[in-house]
Amino acid sequence: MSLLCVKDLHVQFHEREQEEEAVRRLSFTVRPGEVLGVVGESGSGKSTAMQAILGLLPERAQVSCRQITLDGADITPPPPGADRRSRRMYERKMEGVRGCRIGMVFQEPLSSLNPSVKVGRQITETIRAHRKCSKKAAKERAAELLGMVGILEGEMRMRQYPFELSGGMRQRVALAIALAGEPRLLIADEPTTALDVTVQAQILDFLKRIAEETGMAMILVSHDLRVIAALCRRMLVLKDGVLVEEGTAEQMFQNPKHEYTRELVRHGARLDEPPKFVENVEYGKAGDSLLAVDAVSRAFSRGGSGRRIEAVRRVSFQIGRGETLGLVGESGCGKSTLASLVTGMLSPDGGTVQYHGEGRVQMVFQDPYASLNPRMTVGDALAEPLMLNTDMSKEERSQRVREMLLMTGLRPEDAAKYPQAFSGGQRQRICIARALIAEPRLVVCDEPVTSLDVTVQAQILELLERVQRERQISYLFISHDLQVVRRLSRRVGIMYAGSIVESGEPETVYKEPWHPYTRALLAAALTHGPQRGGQCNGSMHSTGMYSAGMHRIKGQAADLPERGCPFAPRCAYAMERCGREMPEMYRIGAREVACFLVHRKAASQPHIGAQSAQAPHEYGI
Amino acid sequence: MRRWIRKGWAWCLGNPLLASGTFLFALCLLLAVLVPVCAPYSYAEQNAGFRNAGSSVSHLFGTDKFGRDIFVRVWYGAGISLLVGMGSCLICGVTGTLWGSVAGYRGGRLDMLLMRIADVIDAVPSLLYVILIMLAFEANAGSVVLGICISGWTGLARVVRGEIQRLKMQEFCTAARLAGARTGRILCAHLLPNAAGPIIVNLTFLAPKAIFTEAFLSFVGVGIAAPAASLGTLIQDARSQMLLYPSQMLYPILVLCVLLLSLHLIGEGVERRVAGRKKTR
Amino acid sequence: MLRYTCKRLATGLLALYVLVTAAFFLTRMMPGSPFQGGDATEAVTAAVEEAYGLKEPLWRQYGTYLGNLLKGDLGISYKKPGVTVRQVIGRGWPATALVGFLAVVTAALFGTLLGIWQALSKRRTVRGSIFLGTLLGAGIPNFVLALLLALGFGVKLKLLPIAGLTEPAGYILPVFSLAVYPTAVITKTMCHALEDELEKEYVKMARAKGLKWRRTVVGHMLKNAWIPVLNYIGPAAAFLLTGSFAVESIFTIPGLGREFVNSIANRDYTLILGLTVFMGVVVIGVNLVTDLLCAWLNPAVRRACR
Repeated sequence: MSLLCVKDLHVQFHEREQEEEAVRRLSFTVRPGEVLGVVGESGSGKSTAMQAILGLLPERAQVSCRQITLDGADITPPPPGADRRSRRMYERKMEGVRGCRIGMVFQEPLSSLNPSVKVGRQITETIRAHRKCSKKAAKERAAELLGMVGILEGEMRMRQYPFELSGGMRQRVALAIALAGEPRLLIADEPTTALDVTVQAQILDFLKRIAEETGMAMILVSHDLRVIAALCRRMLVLKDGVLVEEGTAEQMFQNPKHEYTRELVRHGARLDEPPKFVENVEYGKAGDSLLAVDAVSRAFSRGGSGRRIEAVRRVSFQIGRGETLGLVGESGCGKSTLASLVTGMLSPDGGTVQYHGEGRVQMVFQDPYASLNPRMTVGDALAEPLMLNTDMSKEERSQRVREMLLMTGLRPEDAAKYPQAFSGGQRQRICIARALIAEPRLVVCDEPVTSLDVTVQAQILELLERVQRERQISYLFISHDLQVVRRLSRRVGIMYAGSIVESGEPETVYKEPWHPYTRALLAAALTHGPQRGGQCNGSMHSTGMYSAGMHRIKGQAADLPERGCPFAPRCAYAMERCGREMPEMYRIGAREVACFLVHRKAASQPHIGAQSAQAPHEYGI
Repeated sequence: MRRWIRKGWAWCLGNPLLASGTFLFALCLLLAVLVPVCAPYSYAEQNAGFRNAGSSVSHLFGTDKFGRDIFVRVWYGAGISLLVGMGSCLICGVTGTLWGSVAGYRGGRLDMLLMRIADVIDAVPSLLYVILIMLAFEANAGSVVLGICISGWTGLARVVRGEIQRLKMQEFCTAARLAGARTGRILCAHLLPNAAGPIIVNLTFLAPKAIFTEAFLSFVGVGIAAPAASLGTLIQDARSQMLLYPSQMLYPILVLCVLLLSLHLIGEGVERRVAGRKKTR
Repeated sequence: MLRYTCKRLATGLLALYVLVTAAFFLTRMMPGSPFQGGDATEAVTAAVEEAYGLKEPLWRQYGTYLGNLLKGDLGISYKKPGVTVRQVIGRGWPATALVGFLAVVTAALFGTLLGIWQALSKRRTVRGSIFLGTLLGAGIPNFVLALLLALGFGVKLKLLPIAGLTEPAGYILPVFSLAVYPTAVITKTMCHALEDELEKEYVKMARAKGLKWRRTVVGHMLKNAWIPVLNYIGPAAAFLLTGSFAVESIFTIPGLGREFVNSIANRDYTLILGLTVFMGVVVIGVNLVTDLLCAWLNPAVRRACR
C-alpha cells in the first residue's frame, strides 16, 4: 500500500506565445515512512511537480493528471477547462490536505515567511487551521514544536519577526509550520540550498531524525546529488520534466543506466578527486609573488547605530604567478569584501595590498545574470576594457572579441547578441572572456560556479583550468564549497568571521584539519556517494553521525564576541583564554593555524616547524 | 535610427493600451498643430454677426458669445496644453534624472542633502506654489511650466535615485569599473539605459498631470491670460451660458478628456510593458 | 523611531518655513497695489498703504509677518474691511474639512475594495471594467466632472441639489466629484500592491500550510499591501484641498476653496497668503502623521526604536 501515488502528471505553462511543458508523464509512488529523493537541475520541473501535487501552481499552469491518491483518498486536480464548481470543490478538499496531511518546506526561508507577521502567529494559525483549539493551547503547541525543531527559548522567539532570526532558524520555523499538522508526508523542496554548509548539515540531521522517529514519509527535492544521497534510499532523476531514472541510491551510484544520471554521478565524483596539476608550471615560489596582502582590515558601519562591524580583520596571504589560492568560508565571513579589497574596489582601513602585475586585477562574479549589462551586446561588453585601456582600432577590437569567444567555447557570431539570449553557463563563459580580454595576471573568482547546475559547474571549472594552463594566470578562488576549491587550488585558506583561521595545502588541510572550525566544516560537508550504514567515514550519513557529533557545531556565525577568538562561542574546545584574547597565526611548516590549541604544541616543541608532519593529535582535537 | 523607430513602433503596437493611446495622442497632436495654421479664422477673431451659433460646415463646433470659432479655439487651446505638457516633461525629466542620479550614485552626505531638499519641496501641494507664481509673474504658458517644474521633478528624482542605487550594486557595474570605466561612462552606458523603463513611465504620467494643472489654473482664473485661449479658459467662459449653450462647454471638455485619457493610456501601457519585461527577464 | 520622528518633524517645519517665505515674497512681488483702482487718488492709496504697513522696508514687513504668524495672527483682509484672515478661515474651514473628510473616507473605502476585487478576481470582465473605471477616474479632471455632474444631475435631471450644503443630499455631488480621482489612485495602488504580494513566496507557503484563501488575503497579504495605500493619504489630502477650489466654486459651497478663488479674483493678497499658509500647514501635518504611521507599521522600524 503506497502513501502517495501519482499517475501521469502533466504540467504545461501558458506564457503569451509559447507553451512549455514543464512536467511530462510523471508517475511515482511514495511508501509510508520512506524518504524519497528527487534530483534534477534547475528547470527540470521537480519543484513544479511537487507544487502540482498540492495544487499550489498559479492559474497559467495547466495541470492534468490521471490520478493522485493520498492514503487511498483521491486528490486528483480537476482537468484543465473544468468548471468553477469542481475547482472550488478541489480547493476546499485541498485546504484540508495541505499542512495537515502533507506538509511542505520551501527553499528560501526568508521569503517563505511573511515579514510583517510574528513567528508565533504564523505557527499558531497553522495549528488552528486544522484543529479546533483555543489560542492558548495553540501557543503551547507552537512552543513545543519550536522545541522539537531545535529552537531554544521558543516563547521568546514566537514574539519575534522573521527578520530577527538567522537563516537556519527561519528554516527551522518553516519546518515547525510544516510539522504543525502532524502530516503523514513532508515535501522538502531544496530545504538547505540557501543555507551555509554547517547549517545545512544541522537541518539534514534533523530531517533524518524526524523521519526515523515519527515514521513520517518524506520527499526530498534537490539539485545536489550529495544532499539526496545523504538521506534517501530511493531516488528519482528528472530531466526536462521527464523521469529518466528511478531506483535505489546504490544502483544510481554504482550502475547508472541513463546517460544523464551517469553524467551527474561522474561530474560529482570528479569534484571529489584531488587536482591534477601540470608539472611544467612553476607554482608559487617565494619572492615571485604576484599579490601580497599584508594584515588588511576593513570595517563597515551598520545601520544608523554607528557601530562598526569588522568584515575583514588582519588578513595576510600571498599569491605567486600561475598559482591558485582557494578561500573557503560561509556566507558573511568577509570573503566578498576581501575580493573587493584585492581588486581595489574598496580601500583597506589598515594593512596593504600589493599587486605586482601589470594592468588591473579582473574578476568573475557569482551571479551570471547580474554581472552582464542587459542593455549591452556581448561584443560591446567584451570590447569595453579594450576600448577604455588600449588604442586598438574597432576592427582589432572585434577581432580580439572573436578570439576570446572562441577560446571560451562560444561562437564568434554571439558577439551581436544580448546577454538575455544565453543560459547561465554561457553567461559565465562570457564573464570569463570579459575578465581575460585585457590579459590580466590575476583573476578573482568570487563563487563563480555556485549558481550553476552541477554538470555546468564542471565545464566552467574545466575552462578555468585550461585558461590557467594556457596563459599562466593566477586565481584567487573564493567559494563556500570545499570540494570545488580543492579541485582548483594549490593552497587553501579557511575564513571565519573576517579572518583566515587556517591555511595550507588542500591535501593536508582536508586530511588533518587542525582548527576546530575547519574540522566542523569538513564534518558538515557531504561526500559523493550513496549512504552506507554503520560505517564512519567522516561524513554525515553514517551511524558515525552522532559519534562525530563533536565536530558538528551549533548555531550560526551571527553574534560575534567582542573580544577573543570569534569562533569561541561555537567551539567545543574553547578554553578560558579563547574568550580573552585573539589567537595569532601560528606557523607550522607550510601550514598556518590561528588557534591556541596549536600554539601550545608549538610552544612546547619549538622545533615543530621542522616536523610539520606531527599534528597536535595528542591534545585530542 | 531607422531601426530604433521600427523597434519603437513594434513596441507600441504590441500592447493594445499603448497602441490606442498613441493613436489618440497622435490625432490630437496633428489637429492641434494643423487646425490653427490651416483654418480660415484665427483663435481671437470676433464676428459680431455670428454669435452663439450652432455647428455648421463653416464653424464645425459653432461659435461663442463673441462669435469666435470654437473649433479653432479648442485646438489652439489643446496646442497650449500639449506645449505645457511637453515643456514640463522635458524640464522635469532633465532635472529629475540629473538630481536623482547624482544623489544615487554619490550617496553619503550629498545624497542626504539633495533628498532632504526634495522632501521639503514635496511637502507642500505644488498647486499652491503655482498659483502664487502665476499671480506674481506674467500669466502665460512659460509661467505655468515654471510653476509645474518647481516641484514636478521630485518624484522622478526619487525613482532615478532608487534605480541607480539598485543598479550600482549590481555586478556588471563593478565589472565596468574593473575595466577602467569612469563615473560618466558608468552612468551613461551602464546605469541610465537600465533605468530607462521607470523614467519613461514616470514621465508619461507627468505629462497629463501638467496638462491638468494648466487647465485647472485657467479654469480658476490664474492661467493663460486672454486673448490667448486654453482649454480651461474655454470651459470657464462657456460656464456662464452652460444652460443655454451646453455644447460650447462640452467641446473643450471632450478634447481635454481625450487628451488626458490618451496620455493615461500610454502611461498604463508603458508601465505594463516595463513591468512585464522585469517579470519575465 | 524617535530619531526618525525628529527628522520628519524638522523636514516639515523647514518646508513650512520655506513655504511662508516664498509665499510672502511672491505676494509682495505681485504687480500693482491692492488698493489701486476705482476712483481712489494717489494720496488716498498712499495713506492706506501707510496704514497697512506696506511702506516699510520689505524685510521688516517680513519680520512682522513672521512674528504675527507665530502668535497665530494671519493679518487682515485687504478687501473685506474689518475681517481678519483667521475669521475667514474659521468660517470656511468646517465645510471644506467635512467635504474633504467624507471624500477621503469614500475614496479609501471604495478604492481599497475595488483594488482588492480587481487584483483577486478571476474574471477578465471584472478586472477589465475596474481598470477602465480607474483609467477614466484618473483621466477626467475633477472640475470637469463637477461641471458635468452639475449639468446632468442638477440641471437636466433635477435629481440632486447643486448649490450649497443646506441639506444632506447636497453633499453627494461635491463629495463624489472630489473622491473619484483618489478612488482611482487608491484602486490602482491597492491592485498593484496586491499583485506584487501575490507573487511572493509566503503566499504559496500560507496556502501550503492549509490556510483558507480568505485568511491568507486578510491576515497576510493585506497587512503588507495596506502600506502604499496609507502612504497615499498624505498626497490625497493635498489633492482634496486644492481640488476644493474648483468644486466649491461650482457647487457654491462656503468653504476655503471658494474663498481662495474669490481672493484670487479680488487680488486680496493677505487672504491669499493666509490661506496658502494655512493649507500648507494642514497638508504638511497630514503628511507627517501618515509618514509616522507608516514607519510605525513597519515592524523593523518599530523594533529599532526599543
